[in-house]
Amino acid sequence: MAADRPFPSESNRCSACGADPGSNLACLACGLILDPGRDPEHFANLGLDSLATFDPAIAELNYLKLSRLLHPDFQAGRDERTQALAVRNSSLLNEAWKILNDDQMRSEYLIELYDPGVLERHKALSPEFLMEAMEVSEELDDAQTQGCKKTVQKIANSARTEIETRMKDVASACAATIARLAHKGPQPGETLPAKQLSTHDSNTEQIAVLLHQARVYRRILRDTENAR
Amino acid sequence: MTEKQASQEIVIGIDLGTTNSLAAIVGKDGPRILHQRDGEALIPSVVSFLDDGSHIVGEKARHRAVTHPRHTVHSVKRLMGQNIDEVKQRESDRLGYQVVQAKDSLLARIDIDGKLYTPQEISAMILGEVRRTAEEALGKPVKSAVITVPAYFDDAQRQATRDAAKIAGLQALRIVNEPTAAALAYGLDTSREGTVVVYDLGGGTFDVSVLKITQGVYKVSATAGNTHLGGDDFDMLIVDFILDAVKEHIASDATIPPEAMQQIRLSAEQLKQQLSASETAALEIDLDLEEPVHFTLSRADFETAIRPLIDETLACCHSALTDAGIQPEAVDEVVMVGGSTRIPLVRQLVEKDLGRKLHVELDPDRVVALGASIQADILSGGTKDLLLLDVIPLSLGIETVGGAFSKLVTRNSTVPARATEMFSTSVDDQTSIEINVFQGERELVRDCRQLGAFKLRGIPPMPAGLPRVEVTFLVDADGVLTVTSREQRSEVEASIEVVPSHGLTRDEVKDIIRNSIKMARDDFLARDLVELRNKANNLATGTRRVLAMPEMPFTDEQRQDLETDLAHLDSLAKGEDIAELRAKCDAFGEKTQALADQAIGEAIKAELNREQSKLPSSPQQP
Repeated sequence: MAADRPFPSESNRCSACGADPGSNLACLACGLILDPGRDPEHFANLGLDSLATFDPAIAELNYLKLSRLLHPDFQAGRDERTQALAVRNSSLLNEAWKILNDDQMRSEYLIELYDPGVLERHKALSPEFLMEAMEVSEELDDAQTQGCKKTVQKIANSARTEIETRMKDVASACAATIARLAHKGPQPGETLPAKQLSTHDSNTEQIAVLLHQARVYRRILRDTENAR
Repeated sequence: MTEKQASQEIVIGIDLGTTNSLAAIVGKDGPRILHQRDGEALIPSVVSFLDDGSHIVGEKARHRAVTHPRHTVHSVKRLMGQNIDEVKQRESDRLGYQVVQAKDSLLARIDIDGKLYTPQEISAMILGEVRRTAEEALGKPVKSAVITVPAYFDDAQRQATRDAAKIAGLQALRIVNEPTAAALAYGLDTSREGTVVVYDLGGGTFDVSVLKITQGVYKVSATAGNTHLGGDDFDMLIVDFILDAVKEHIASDATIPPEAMQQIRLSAEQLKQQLSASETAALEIDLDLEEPVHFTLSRADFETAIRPLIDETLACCHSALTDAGIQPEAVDEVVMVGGSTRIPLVRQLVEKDLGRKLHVELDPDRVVALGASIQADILSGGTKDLLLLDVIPLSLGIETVGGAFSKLVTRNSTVPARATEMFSTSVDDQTSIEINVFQGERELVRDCRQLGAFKLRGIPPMPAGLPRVEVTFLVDADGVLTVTSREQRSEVEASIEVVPSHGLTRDEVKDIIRNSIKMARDDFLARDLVELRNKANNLATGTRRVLAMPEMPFTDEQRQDLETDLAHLDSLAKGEDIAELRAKCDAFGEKTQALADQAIGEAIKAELNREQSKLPSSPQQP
């Protein structure tokens, strides 16, 4: 199983079985619960390579497998330290899954990993975009007060389209960034290849803007759901 | 059953309900309910205090609600982890007993002739009775359990349940959410996959959980509910109808005594149950008036009255589905749990609303306990095929500037869940920081529930703003919060003092346990009795086996003597007199020891005979 996935840190070996553990949290080969240290990286926690194309099926498979290894329910009779570690690692696993299983959160996490602070630097959206979003919000408010379900549905559909277009662009821009990084290649033993890009990478800047815009439309979409 | 499992300690599953409680265990043939000696499974969650200060639990206690309303505590689950004003607002006059404010906090206490009890203590008495029932049914002591709570219980209510178990001398290995337990019970026989909605309407609480089942992993996607909406509320609507009828027969300024109120409450419950089977229900209510009040209620009137409450539950279902990101059409199965799902209108509306045929195959009163026993089996090292991944029902966070609520762990996060937050000091040489923790969904802390205050102490003196205290909030698999912290510059572990706003402090729990020595003694005696009964049964079975052996050379007189002893032993084992039973067991044990030796001798002889008779060359026995 571990051999199916590329993993950036080649020097990492499980102390119990000698295999590549595959995850920061537990050895996917033998099940040994590992101490991941402080603030371990989500992709590595879930047994994924941040530089590989995200495959939701593999992610879920790993999540389920690691859950079975780490969940406190299955630690009956283990020593206190192992039990405490299992609780901590379970919580880290759940956190990793929550973020990586969500397109928006995963993309945000990924670009911050390679270009820290980029989201904050490009928080301000263009006046044109904000104007457009405000008009849609007002239209939704009116539709709600008038009880016009058809308009609410129309706004929901167009919000979905806006989100999809942007997430598609995010995905291809991320792939391009990843390709460049992968070409450079992370150093062996380096699990968190942060700051590999210059702080003014035009690619990540573009992704940040798209993600901020997608968030705005997600908020509108949620409002349409609450309206119904 | 593997050998390893057999050697493990017994862990039972307990459904600690608003109306009824019961226990279950996983045996060779799967999960089964543990029955009381009279064959009943459901133990009414009612505690009644007798004149001598002792208490009884269950069916007998329930009957005393009418005769001794002020001494009989029902629906205590609705008081768990609650403030006095929360209780007064909601429960006001439906409880026959007195609820007062605790001396040193805002918490609700139950006042029985001036002696105050915490809801945790009353729940502990119910748990004690459930445990006794389980011990009798199993013939073995029980020390650990999995206890279920409504999914929508907040941190304080979960803590209170854990404390109740502690007071009852039970180790609560896990607090499991009721709808999740139910899903487990339903999913056991099949290798089901897909999206399941569990609609759980009980005596006092409503929960809905949306689960995704994949490869034996039961992952809750979202949960919603109301911890104060259930059958009790339907009863109260009927009570209002009855009161209107009663008021025509009494003077306008007359007050209805608590005994009569409880009589009316129980009558309302009966009417409600009748209306699940028939179109109208009628009752004579004897209130010591000149003549009994005759009261009739049609199902249509009842349904009109409860309709808004059911609509509220349906709204909850939809918000849970939205949170889970699942369209109603994508739901594969709908499971109905809780006694109130017997009401035809409830089934009808849920079926119509979700557009799915409902699962009602398992008894809605028992399915939660069965599920809890499956989780107990998992925790005691039994099955490893199933895994529950549950969520926290309400967001957890802290108070920030201006009373704003900053969410750290959002609702529907899978547990165990964690969040870390960095804190610093605002004045030079400040050595402690106070953090107020809240739970809820609103923007301002004043609209959320305060869970407690955490005081970080032992921060090394430094200029203001320089210390970096990292605080980790960890929600464990029970959905209960623990907080740890460390100052990063000095690597000092700042100590944390937890001051719960709604629950009991650790010392209070200890005090209660210490003060309940009598209860502990009762428990001890009860366990003694269980063990003695078990011993007596083993002795009797062994002796009867020996008596039945054809090779045993008993005289008629000996047989007669042993039969008399056995009858005496049986009758003592059915009674409660521990001393006499112990004496009889000891004496009879000694007496039969010789018999046993003799029986073994005879058995060996017989065996040898058989062996020898197999050898054709061996000479015949004389």
